[in-house]
Amino acid sequence: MAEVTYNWPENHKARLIGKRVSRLDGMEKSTGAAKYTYDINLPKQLVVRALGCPHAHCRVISVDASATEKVPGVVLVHLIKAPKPGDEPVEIRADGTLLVAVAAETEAIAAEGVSKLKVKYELLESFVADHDLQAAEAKKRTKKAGGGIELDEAIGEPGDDDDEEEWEEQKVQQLFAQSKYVVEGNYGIDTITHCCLEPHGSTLHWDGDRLKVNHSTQNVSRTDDGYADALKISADEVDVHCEYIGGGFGSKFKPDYWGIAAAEIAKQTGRPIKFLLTRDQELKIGGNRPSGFIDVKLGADENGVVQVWDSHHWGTSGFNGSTVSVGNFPYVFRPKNWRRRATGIITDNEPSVAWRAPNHPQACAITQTAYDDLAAKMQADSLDIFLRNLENIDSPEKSLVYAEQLRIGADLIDWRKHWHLHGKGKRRGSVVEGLGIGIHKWGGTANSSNCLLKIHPDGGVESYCGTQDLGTGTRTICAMVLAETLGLPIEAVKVNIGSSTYPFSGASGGSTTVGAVSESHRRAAQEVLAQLFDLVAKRLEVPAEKLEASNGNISVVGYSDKSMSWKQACSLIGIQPLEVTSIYKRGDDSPLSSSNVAGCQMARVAVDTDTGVVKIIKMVAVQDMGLVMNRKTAESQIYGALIMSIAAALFEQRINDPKTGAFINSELDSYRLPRLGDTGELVVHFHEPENERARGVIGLGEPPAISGGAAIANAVCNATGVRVPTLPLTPKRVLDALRTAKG
Amino acid sequence: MGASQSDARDVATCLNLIPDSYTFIPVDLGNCCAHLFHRLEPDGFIMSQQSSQGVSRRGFLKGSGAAVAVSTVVSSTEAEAAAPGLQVVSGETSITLKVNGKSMTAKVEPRTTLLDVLRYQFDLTGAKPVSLGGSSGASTVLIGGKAVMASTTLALAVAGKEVTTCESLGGDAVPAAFVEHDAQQCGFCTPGFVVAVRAFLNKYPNATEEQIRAGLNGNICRCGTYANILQAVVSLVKGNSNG
Ligand code: FES
Repeated sequence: MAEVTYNWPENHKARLIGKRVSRLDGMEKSTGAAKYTYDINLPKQLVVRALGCPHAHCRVISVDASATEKVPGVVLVHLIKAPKPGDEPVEIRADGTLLVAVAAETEAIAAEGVSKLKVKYELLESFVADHDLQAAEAKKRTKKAGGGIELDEAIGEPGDDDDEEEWEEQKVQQLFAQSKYVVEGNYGIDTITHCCLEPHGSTLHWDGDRLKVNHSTQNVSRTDDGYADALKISADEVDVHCEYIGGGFGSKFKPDYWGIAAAEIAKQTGRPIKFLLTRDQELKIGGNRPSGFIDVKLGADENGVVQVWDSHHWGTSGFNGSTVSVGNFPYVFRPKNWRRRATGIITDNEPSVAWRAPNHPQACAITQTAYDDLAAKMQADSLDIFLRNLENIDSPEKSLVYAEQLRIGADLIDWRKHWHLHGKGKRRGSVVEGLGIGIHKWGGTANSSNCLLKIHPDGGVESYCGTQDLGTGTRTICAMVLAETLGLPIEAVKVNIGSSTYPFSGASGGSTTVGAVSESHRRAAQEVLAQLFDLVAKRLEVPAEKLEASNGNISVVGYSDKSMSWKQACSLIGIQPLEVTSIYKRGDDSPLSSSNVAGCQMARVAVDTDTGVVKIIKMVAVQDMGLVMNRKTAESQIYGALIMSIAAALFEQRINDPKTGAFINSELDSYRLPRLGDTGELVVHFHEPENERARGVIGLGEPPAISGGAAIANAVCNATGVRVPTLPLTPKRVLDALRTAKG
Repeated sequence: MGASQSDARDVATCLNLIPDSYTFIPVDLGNCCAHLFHRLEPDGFIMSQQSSQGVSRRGFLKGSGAAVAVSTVVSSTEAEAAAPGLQVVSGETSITLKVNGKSMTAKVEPRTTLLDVLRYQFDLTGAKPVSLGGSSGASTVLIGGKAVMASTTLALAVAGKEVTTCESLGGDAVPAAFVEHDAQQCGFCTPGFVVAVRAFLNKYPNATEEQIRAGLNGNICRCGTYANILQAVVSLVKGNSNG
């Protein structure tokens, strides 16, 4: 067999790749046939509910479960993070931390059992004021979180006798003194939670010594390790399944301590266990994104090109006390001179975890707002200021891409027609309108992925891959790639994903999955096809390289009469199926995938200055992504990302009670998310210049979820002429900012 | 807790985003204003998110005039008159529900929600337990053709009534339009949305885009499929294929 050259079909030949293909499991999802972890009911299962700690910071002294144990139907009370009688108290650092689990015959009984637990707490002082750096310092709740400085070469180096910091300070101040425009501002973005609609958890049972777990996970292939480690068994004794997952967004990579508790309870009771978090717990401990607040000073030349950036930001990632990583400040833009510093704040909250495009949305929202304030100060067009500053960005090779994307975005949102200087637009009653921009970047390198592909002698095609479909349409893309390569209709291939018993495939995080499965499935299909071509070539007495697979046939290129149906061809395989396992390792050089995209988003908003309510009129997303796999699901990804950006920009925030530290809006009636009527008109544009396809597949999940917040914040500033510093821009914050500006 | 001036105005402005079936209770939550959205069910049921904890296994108050036609034998062990015309039902009881055209028997306690019955006794898991207070719409089912949250509806209250879940809508135009317009990502909110759309179109078969934007705000999608759902519903209205 000749060595296989991996490639994608040329555009004009592709039947499925790059086209609009409906997701294969759409009907199952729409009609309730798709079974999620929460939906799986195992015979004789017990349902577990747990008591979440009602205090942000306390010690759990003792647990009295006697009343719980008396509830008919309660089978087991299991301590999670609580002392056994006689043990030392357990310190708790986050509201919602699971203390005691109750396993019962039904969910309602388990909940009743939980309500009857009597727990003694010793309250400790809590601190949750992540926005208040001074207060945090006074309470010794801060941690250094990195920083650095870079000055233009022309400025030179400190002399041997100079104190380095003093010298740097002097140079930075000189740069400000030379600047034509100086902007000072403070900006912020609150902590938000992942709020997966399917809460974290598992439905599991022991089959002898084997643990069989249905787990709502973004990491089907490697969640077994976590269970195995904690339970002191080996990973090959744990099977993890997840056919469908109701949202993850970066928060579902591990068994989590409640998954381990479920396995322990299953062991103790000898019964299958279903243990999923309640909504309140999902919001409190199911994952959150760090907050960020910043003091910025920037200096620009007469053209509005930023020459010096100086910032200090802080925020919290919960009790581990980190903040948004400093490496991306200012975001995308990189003036020749910059100094930046970060301080983490230790609050009594659950530690944050990865959130769609970790760090980027916050970095974007709290730095590109300063660039927009420069436009406001100069009474210049924001678009011009963004364009001019493309001369200093962290990936200079992308500046033309951004320029083109900004031009396209401006056309789509009708920038020239609707633009007015900040705060100088027409008023309709109490309503003003405005425009804003954000730009972003992302890597999106394909993750490792292996695929086992079987071709049966009767023509059947099935694949196995331990990947997962978070809603991006992974399952459909696997099928598209196989069907495209083998020249078959998409229904002719049976794709199996979602089990750790299948070949390894990397976790879905960081926009790595579509690239990963495209790599592994294309490779497997090309290899299998090469083997099949050899068999067919012999039979038809033609060279194998003259064969092609299309329309359910394998035929000789240019001789349509010389062909075999797929079925006939497969009958040449013999009695055993043809099997190929492809292996793709992240970072392997490949013509099939690559990385690094840009992207811009623009928002047009209306602000009611009487009520403070912001409404989205229109948002535009312009996004490059290499080779588009499924145009339909790719578009949905971007729509969804825009809507998530609207959520963080206008609605959602974790609210901690300043006195008790409690997370007080941990239900969906008070943790506000946008609804269908809140999203305005959304426009998605795939930026596909001529050479874009040749870049291969690049992940798409994160990039469009980054710059919408900055765009909306800037649009509100453009509308009102007033900077509302902190996202979400709630009506109260908008009104407060307007009042403060009036004086 | 009083709503501040700005909260009150905010509520007024938001009202047009929310269907009639919501009442607003503005509350002041620290540094922002948030609103509690409580959906009034057709039968006047309002339940808090603490439903399964807050409603005791003993107390289901049957109002004589209320629409709680329990058509089955209530094998109450502790029935007692709480007030004239009211009767307390307690303990476990067998009831019959008409689900998707089939008569099905369930064992319920007073506190058992319709959602619990569907998911745990009938293995109809399309309706999802997302927010027990009903503010996500994920557990939407039809009762007598009206959209209702199964999570805030007590099973006893719907005994004998016609319950339609997403599982029966396989041949309906709504799921097909959802697939065509890719109105689902993770899909966890989707069954609830499908049923809500069905109910909405039954009432407003010729809805304008504006009406669609205003009328489907009882459901939450975290993945952000609203744009696709909107397209799906617009196409259903246009295609006039929503029956
Ligand atoms: S599709 Fe995931 S919540 Fe709607």
